[in-house]
Formats: sequence, structure tokens, C-alpha cells
Amino acid sequence: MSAPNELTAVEIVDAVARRQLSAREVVLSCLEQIDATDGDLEAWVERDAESALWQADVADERRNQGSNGPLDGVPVAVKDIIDVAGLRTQAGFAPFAERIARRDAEVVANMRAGGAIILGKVSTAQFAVSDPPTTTSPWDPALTPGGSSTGSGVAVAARQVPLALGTQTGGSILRPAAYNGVVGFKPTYGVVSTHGVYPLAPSLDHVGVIARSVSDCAAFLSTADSVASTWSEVGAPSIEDAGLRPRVGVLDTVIDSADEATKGAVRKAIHSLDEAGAEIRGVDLEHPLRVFSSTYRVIMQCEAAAAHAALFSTHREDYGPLLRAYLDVGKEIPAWVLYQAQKLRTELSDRFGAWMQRSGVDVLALPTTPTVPPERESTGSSAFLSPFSLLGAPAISLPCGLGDGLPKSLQLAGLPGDDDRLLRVARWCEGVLGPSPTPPRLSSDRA
Amino acid sequence: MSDEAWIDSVVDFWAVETARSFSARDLHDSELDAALRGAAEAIRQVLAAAPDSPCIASGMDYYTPQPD
Repeated sequence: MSAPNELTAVEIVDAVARRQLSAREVVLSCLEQIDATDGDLEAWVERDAESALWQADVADERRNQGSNGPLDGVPVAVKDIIDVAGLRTQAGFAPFAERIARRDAEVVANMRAGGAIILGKVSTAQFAVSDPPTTTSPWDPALTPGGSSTGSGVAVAARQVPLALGTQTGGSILRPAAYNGVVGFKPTYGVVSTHGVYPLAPSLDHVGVIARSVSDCAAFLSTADSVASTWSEVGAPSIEDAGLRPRVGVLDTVIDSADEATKGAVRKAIHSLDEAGAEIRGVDLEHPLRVFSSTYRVIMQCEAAAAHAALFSTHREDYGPLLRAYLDVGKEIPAWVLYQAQKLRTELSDRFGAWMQRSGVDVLALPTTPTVPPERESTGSSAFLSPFSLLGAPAISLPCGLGDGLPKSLQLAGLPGDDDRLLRVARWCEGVLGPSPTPPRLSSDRA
Repeated sequence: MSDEAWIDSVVDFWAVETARSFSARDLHDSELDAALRGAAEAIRQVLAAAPDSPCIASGMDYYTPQPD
């Protein structure tokens, strides 16, 4: 068996249930990996080893009594804009250095109830926007590890934890997942509660997960979902058992607008899916992608200006330059433009749903990002991601191999509310494209 | 005036007036400048793609001289 810290969440649950491993052994292994690698990576802003070991002992005791949750014994990292009782929620903002949460965010409470062990907090771009933290990429320290869920992507890629909570307003879960060579999943808007999550743009804010397998994303959804359990429906059928032949709509125009390296990797991945039996169709959205991303931008800046109005008026100089500029401009966008953007969003959402039904595809396929990771001053582009955040549609980023020593990714997006179908198709595709690659910068022999 | 020209004039007016409202220091701030340009382009796209144009929505077409 691999070292416990290298196992996926589903593998850990299985090993703990079979008594091949204890939850304490899993937590200790993850803590050792953090000690061995995080001096360079700086993914973590606060670790709570004592509490994590106590939670592990409780999980082991629960197992001894014959009870197992869907995430029993699984260590989880939490993005530092999500409240964890007793820990600080700093959000990358200096005045919040001693801001201790009184209670768990709803998603954290749900995951604890499912058996997850909260290991601590990982870094975020300031207030989940674009000013990057000091965290470095395990693939290349000169390049951005992505954001805003920066620490979440790095911690999972570096085998420090199998699961990390993230948030996405534009592209902040799938983008760091792509740059770090792991899986990022954003469920349909509203499926996972944002209660206890510091808001950026409330009508766009999503909570999701970064993991190393699609099955782990499904396990997350089964516990985090505030409405209903889906894991039992997603199940674990093999490709053959399900007889699945996914219908994949390929957004050719979008792929052609990516850089050569990205375009080549995504075309190759789609060819592999075709050869494996997927039904591949070229499709085109009814509107150019920039209409979606522009509508997103107007709504995001206006809502962010509203969410930060009071704090920004008293702490302007503590804001990073990018967020400060967004908020300055967001305050000036006229109300009638926001009104038009909201009308357009409704129209785009209605048309997207009808178009997906007519086109007869299960999912859309496109690159996660238009380029390879830029340098560290940026967190990367959300141009291919914000359209699905605007629509509230579920989306997932899958690793699809390496190119020039960096991970490449394929994005799949589905209809809002159709998370189960997206996860089934994604798991099928994962079987074709292969698992998450291991980064080169894991300094210890353990990696 | 066509919808397109009307949108351009409105967005340009907004961008210039917004820039003027910032301090002299901020006007030289590259992030602020980029944010302003990004928002202007986003507003232009939103108005151009809106299901009913801002001219029609605001009743401007009634007051705009039409060619015979």
C-alpha cells in the first residue's frame, strides 16, 4: 500500500473501514508530509495538529463501534476564507490576523458530520480575488500555482492532504487545480452552502473541492451538499458496468483561442476520449464566451464593491492593489448597467439550458485555462471558467497529462443541477486520461 | 444614432468621468487603469448583447431622429 498521505480520500475511507489503517496513522502521515514539504511551498497558514489527532482518535473509536461515515478518517484542508471554529479566518488580509471564528461554516460542519478531520487552514489570494499569497507551485517556483484557492491546490498536489475545500466566484477552484495537476470540482450554485464563508460576490460565490480523483469529489458532494446525498446515486460502477458512452460537446472555437501548448494537450485528450468510445460532437455556444465573461465581470465588481463597502471605507490601504482597483471601479459602475447585466444573465442562463437540451450532449469540453501558468504576480486567467460560474453550472477540471514538464487540464461543464451526470462522465474520462501526476518539487523521499 | 454608437458614447463618458473622480495618484496606478479599462470593455459587451438595447430600454429611440 502507498504511504497514507498519498492515498485518495476514498482509498483512506476503505482502508480505515477494513482496519488496514487507523485515522491517527493517516493524520500523522499527512502532518509529516506537511513538515517535509511546506517550508518551500507555504500552502498552510494555520495547522491544528492537536485537534486533528483528537478528531482522528474519535474517528477510530467510531469505527471500533462499527460506524463509518463517507469521509471517515479523511484529513481536509480549508481555504482561509471559510470559518473553522476556534481557528482564525484571515482571508489574506492583515487586519484579520486575530479574527477567530466562533463556529464552523455550514460546509465544514457537514464534512465533520461525515467523518472528515479538519487539519487546518490553507492560503488564499486576498479575499479570494487576485492578489496572490506567498505560496509556490510544486511544479515550478517561478510560475503561479493559481488562485484564489492557492493553498488548496498546492496542498492536494503535494500529497499533504487528499481533499481541500475551495471557493470559486470566477475561476478560483478549477484554475489552481489545473495548474497543480489535480482535480477541481465546482458544484451547481447553491448546492453547497456558503454560510460562514467570507463573501465576495454572493450571487456568484460557490464552495467546492480540490482532490486527486473524481470519486473523491463525489464523496465530498455527498457530505457537503446541503440539500441531499448524491453519493449513493453516483455509486461506483465501472465503465463497463455502466455501459456509459458519454456524449461530449467540444467547444472548438474556445479551444482554438487557447495557446498552442494548451490547444495541443486538449485536442489530444479529446482524441483519447473518442478512441475510448465517447461520442464527440463539435458545438458552438449561441453567444461568444466574452459576453458571458463580461456579464460576469460587471456583476462581480458591483457585488464585491457592495460586500466590501464598509471594510473598504476604513481599511483601504490594507487591500492588495488588484482588489483595491476592482473595488474602486466597482463602486462607479452605474446601477442601470448592473440591471442590464442581470437581465442578460437571466437570458443567457435560460438560453444555455435550452441549448444544452437541444444539442443532445451530456457535458461540454474545453480547456480549463487559455494558457500555461503565468508568472507568480498573477493567479491566471478565468476567461474559460467565469462563464460557468455566471450560469451556476457544475464544472470540473481533470488532469490530462504533462507537456513541457507542466500539467495540462481538460474542463468539463454540465447543466445546472446535473452534477451527478457531470461526475459520472468525468469519472469515465478520468479512466481514459489517467490519474493526477506527481509534481517534481516534493523534496522528501516520501513523495 | 445607432445603438452601437450610443453604447460607445455612454461607455466612453462613464470611463472618463470615473477616471476623473479618482485622485491624481490613482490615475497613474496601473492596476486601477487596467480595472477601469476592463470594466469599460465589460460594460460595452453587456450593453451590446443585452436582450433589449439600452436605447430601447430607456426610450431613447423615441427621441432619436430617424432617417426617412
